[in-house]
Amino acid sequence: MGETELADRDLVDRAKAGDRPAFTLLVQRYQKRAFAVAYGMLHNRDDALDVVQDAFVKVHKHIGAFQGNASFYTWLYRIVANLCIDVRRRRGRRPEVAFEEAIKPDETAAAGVDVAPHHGEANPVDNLTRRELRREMGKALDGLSENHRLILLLREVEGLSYEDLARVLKISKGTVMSRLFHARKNMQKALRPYLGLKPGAGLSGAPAEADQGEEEERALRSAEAQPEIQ
Amino acid sequence: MGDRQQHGFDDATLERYLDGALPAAQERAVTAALDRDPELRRRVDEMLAVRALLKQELDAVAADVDWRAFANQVVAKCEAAPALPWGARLQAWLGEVFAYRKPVWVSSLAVAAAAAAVLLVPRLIDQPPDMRVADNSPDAQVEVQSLETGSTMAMVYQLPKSRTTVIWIPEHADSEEPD
Repeated sequence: MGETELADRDLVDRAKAGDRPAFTLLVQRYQKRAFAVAYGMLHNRDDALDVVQDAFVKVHKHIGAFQGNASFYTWLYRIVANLCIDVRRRRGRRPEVAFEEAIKPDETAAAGVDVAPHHGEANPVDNLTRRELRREMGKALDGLSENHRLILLLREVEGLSYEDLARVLKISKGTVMSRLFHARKNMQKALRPYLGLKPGAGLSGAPAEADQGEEEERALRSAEAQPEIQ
Repeated sequence: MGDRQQHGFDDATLERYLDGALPAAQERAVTAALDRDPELRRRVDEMLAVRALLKQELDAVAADVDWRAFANQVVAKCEAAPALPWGARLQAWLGEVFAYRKPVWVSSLAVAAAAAAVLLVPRLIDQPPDMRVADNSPDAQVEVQSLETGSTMAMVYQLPKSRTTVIWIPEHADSEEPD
């Protein structure tokens, strides 16, 4: 993301100086990506759009104080993550709208679109419609802990590096690897019946998780105690 | 552990391989093993399938949104929002600093605050007596604001006569670092 980072910094500098088109470009560059994370967290289109909008408003408000010690997108994702956590806490219950309900009915025509990579084997999603798969993926995501869901989305959807994940989530790189590994395993386990995955694959080579629960809770509390970058 | 014994690479190693996070030699070894081991390829396929599913589906949901007016709506909302007072801007700046480089900056600012105090004391002592008396008055050294960011609290003092601002941030023993 080197070139993007440079361009981001330029846009941030211009936005700091009150350049409206520069800020608009920043919004346009990251709106879809921020939305994908927010939607993955909230499973509700309107809530996710509100979160993204609020996140950019916060960015605009605080951009004068942004020093560029971190990448713009790690800052933005941290704000989005904190806002999503706030929304989920406010809900205090399961989301009202199921994951698949945001999808237009005619998208079921896309059923059978290749999801899995090929190494000479049959496509494991041939027997499922895309709609069913989305529903199961939504359930699987919802079954993850908040921390596992967030790290999975930031890594798989946004492609953040281990280092960026550590910055966004305020955890060590070791915890990033451990948390990511367990999040992926849980997701694979939940989706195994729907992706034709072989049952019984365990957590072989799982990174130690001894301090995980405690550290995750600490990171979460720390994230909540930072309203200035929410 | 069965996977490791059978194929030589555990799932954590394969995940890091897919993340491009293995050392070069280990990465080459996994690549070579994938070429000759169909069972290892199947396991990697499973991992890739879940990753691809998540990205494809969420990208598809994002692509379904009409984004044409969104940025302008955001900008309009931003411009309608009141500007932050200077204290909040400082707090935001402290939050940004501490979010990523807390230990370094805490130490640096504490040192800067101490240096400022050392430099200021002789100046105050050199002032005429009436000035020194005035310096003890409540409005001569004003605590402008207390700021909290995470577990850190900062105090901002303003010394009007010397036109100096001191930011005091006590160092925390429990400050944490990402890595």
